[in-house]
Amino acid sequence: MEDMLVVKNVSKKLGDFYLNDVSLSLPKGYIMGYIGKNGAGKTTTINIINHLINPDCGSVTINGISYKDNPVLYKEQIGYVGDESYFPPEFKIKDVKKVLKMFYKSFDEKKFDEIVEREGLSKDKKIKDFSRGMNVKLMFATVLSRETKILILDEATNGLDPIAKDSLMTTLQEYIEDGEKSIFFSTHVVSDLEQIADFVVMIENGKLVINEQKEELLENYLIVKGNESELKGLEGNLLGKKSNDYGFEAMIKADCADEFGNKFIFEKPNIEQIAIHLLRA
Amino acid sequence: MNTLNYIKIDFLKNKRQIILIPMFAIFAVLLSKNSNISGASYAMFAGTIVGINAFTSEKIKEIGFISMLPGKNINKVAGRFLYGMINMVILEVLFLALYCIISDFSNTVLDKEKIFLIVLSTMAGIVLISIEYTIFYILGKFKSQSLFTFIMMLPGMLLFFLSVFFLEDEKFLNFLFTRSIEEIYLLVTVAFIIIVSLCFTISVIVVNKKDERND
Repeated sequence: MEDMLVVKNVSKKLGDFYLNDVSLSLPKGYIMGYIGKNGAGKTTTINIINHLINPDCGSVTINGISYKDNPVLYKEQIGYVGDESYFPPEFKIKDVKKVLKMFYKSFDEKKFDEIVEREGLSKDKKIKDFSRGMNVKLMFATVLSRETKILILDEATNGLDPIAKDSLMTTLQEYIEDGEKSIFFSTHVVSDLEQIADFVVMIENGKLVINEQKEELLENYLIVKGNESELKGLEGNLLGKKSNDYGFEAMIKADCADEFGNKFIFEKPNIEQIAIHLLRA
Repeated sequence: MNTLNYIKIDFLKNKRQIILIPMFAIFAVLLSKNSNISGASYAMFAGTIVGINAFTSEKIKEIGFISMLPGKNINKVAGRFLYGMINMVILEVLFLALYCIISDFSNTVLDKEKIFLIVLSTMAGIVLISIEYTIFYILGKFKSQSLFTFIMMLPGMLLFFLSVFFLEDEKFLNFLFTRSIEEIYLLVTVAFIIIVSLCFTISVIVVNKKDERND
């Protein structure tokens, strides 16, 4: 598998926060979900990939090209959608279109107009008067109406209604269909990733704690439930244990299940449960 | 080509300039009375105010759009510098045009010396804008209103203190009065090129090294 995005040994100190030796690679034609709590380092990682901040060390390449090799091509390949509107507030849609036409040779004006029309975005309003959902739709319109190699989404689905979100998920699947493009999707709404992510990376306090294919990740863990009194000597295997009046719930590595025997209930976790238990651990 | 595109973005973002520039030019003419040098100085000062709009109108969240555009930092900085210069030239030319019209009515002669002073004023304005831009690039996005106000007042303060300093310096005055206009033109042009080039170079270095976002 050829890699679209390669982040190698990237570190960055920002005030009290330290992004520590982050390495990940995203093959072409796949979607990587990047999850973590607020302040874990997701946006810092994305800012480094977008070259909005310089790493203290390490390297980032997109489709084999680093920013240093070719800054214009590097940025042309990226379609970035942020968690809030990044357009100048006094702009209208026609101003955004003008700028896109100036800078992107591959900008498809007809496709942009179609998306704007379909999403019902007002051409007469200034962007500062757009709702959050309208801003997100406009950001997607700008990145989907030109040729990109990777979509970098930073909490991009926040503010979308369920129908819009579902439609977007379909669009994202269509985007990677040709096997030549990839999506790097940062979110703390983990359920958004259940449907579409192929790879899951989780960051906590600036360090990666999960970096696996989704299917392997789901195979590697089990949720275990039962009576605390039956645990005797097995506590060391538990991750993110939570107790209540009825017993306990925790996560274990799947290969430890035999040690627990048949006194407990085992369930396959989803990504959200894996993330919660690892963060709690 | 991208330099030109960055200039266009600054003009797109600051459309109010279309009203401000003629307004400032008219004020400069009205305030100039019989001396075009004072009018040209007012136009120059207005040019610095209009020029720094490019920075003051920037919002931090725009970084996700403007800074993600596929262009080199050198083109971005060049576009910004040229934006400031273009505004300055437009203001001074507009002032000169209006002044000529009024001079015609009042039978005032617009001679070589007066034109030289207006050109000098334009160059001084571009130098001031370049210095301000370099300071803006070094300091980054404004968090402090008082710092921003200081930067806005900088050209006026600089002009005042420098003119007092040099006009009280006998050696400088002797040097000036013993030179021909052509020699002064040459010296001013050389100083202009050196200062603006230095400011541009420093700005490019700063932009290349600095993080665009640190939130």
